[in-house]
Amino acid sequence: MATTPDAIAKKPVFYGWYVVAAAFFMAFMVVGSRQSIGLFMDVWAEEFDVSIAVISAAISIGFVVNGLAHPIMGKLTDKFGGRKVMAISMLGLGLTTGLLALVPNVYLLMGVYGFLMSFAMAGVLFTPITSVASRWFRKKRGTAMGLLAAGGSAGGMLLVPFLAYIMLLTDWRVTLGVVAAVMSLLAFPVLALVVRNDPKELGLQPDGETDADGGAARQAALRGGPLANDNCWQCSFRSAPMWQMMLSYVVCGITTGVIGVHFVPFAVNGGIDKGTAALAFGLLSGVNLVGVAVAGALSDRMRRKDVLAAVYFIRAVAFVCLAFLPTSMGLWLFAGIAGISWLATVPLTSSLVSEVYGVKNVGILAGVLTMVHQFGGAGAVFIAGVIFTATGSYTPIFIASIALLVGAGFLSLTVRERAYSSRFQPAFTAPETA
Amino acid sequence: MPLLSIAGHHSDVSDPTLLQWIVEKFTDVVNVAPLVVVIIIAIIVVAMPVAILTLALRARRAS
Repeated sequence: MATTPDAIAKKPVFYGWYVVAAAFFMAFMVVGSRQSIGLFMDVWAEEFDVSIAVISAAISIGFVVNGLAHPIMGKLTDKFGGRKVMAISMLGLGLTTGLLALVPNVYLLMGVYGFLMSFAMAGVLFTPITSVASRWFRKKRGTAMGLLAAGGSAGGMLLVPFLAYIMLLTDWRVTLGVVAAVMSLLAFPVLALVVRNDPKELGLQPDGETDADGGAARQAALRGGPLANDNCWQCSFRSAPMWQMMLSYVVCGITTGVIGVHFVPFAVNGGIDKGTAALAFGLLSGVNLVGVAVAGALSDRMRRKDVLAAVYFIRAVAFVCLAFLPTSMGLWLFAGIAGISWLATVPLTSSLVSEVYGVKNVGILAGVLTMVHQFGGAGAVFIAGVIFTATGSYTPIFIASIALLVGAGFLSLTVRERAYSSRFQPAFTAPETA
Repeated sequence: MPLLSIAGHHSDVSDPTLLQWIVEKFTDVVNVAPLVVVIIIAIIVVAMPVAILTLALRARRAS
């Protein structure tokens, strides 16, 4: 049946894109405000008369709590739905940020930031939204996941200077108050009112399709591939794809962790000033904003594992630049090339997990993957520090990263996506071909 | 700051010295008063959720 130009003009925007937009804003706020925490460290140390190390300890506690909270939030998502978990967590995050603005001493700061805020943060990103987006999209799942993840990059680029300037004009308590207000009064209502767990709540189908056979394709997409077992999420760990994706995701955590901490010291060690290193890292974030969206969209047109493998190989090339080129050239090339891959593993891995194991347990599975990713990164940072202390060089660390990334790339390629992913099961495309 | 930035790309945390430098560079590039920057970004930050909420609710009513 031909579609008239008039019909195209009047076709409404699929509601799932509003869900993506709401999640984009959520990621914008949460990642942006989390990245801004460095702005407050010196002020806190001065106001509470403690060393930066003590403030760092509070943030480190927060990191551990956040990692451990992901599987819990994932389980809650699978039980109550992502909308409730995200909305309540966002409200909790807003209120605890407000509480942080009022803390009178470093002990309460540790409690509020290290435990309450970090726990709430796990309920917002990215575990619950994986479950929601997987229900709203099946054909454009990668695009949707990529776009909402790009919100995190945008937040890092825009919210950090915003909060820095507010702090310049006022003080840290007012700045945190502003963050709390935006989270509680804007982000929370957006999540609560816009997000719906499932398109069927609004009488819609994933991607805005109309299934002629009553939703067989939709059911197939939700169910996952032949390895999916709705009643036993632990059973996923008895199959190869979960380990292939988890091990490669750990490598992602290791390599982002190493760069997150050691990028600037590496540059300074090579005679580059901190400012230039920061600018290079800024370039990485800017490229990343585009890279994550493009990778997500590409994965909807190709096998996701191929795009995922390409992302790891691209990152390996970036590390080659860092390890073997002169520091200045290597730094800029690294930022440009690695930026393509930085956040891109998130939408690809999440989409693949939901398609292989189904969406019923995707919350807990995404939560476990995120936790492992975080702790892998933490271990790598520590080991990298030890290696640098022993050898006085970052080259062995970067060479090890290259080897791991190449391994992760090949590991991703070995995922038998055609055999295990719902995308390649006959029922997935049945209604369109009927 | 050994563990500060290891949250990776899920929730990176940044070095305060770098953030300070970024703010200074930002000031150099945009060359406007801090209050103007705050107002401009505040409009974006508020407009984004308001627009999402308005459009989404309108879409729901229309369907």
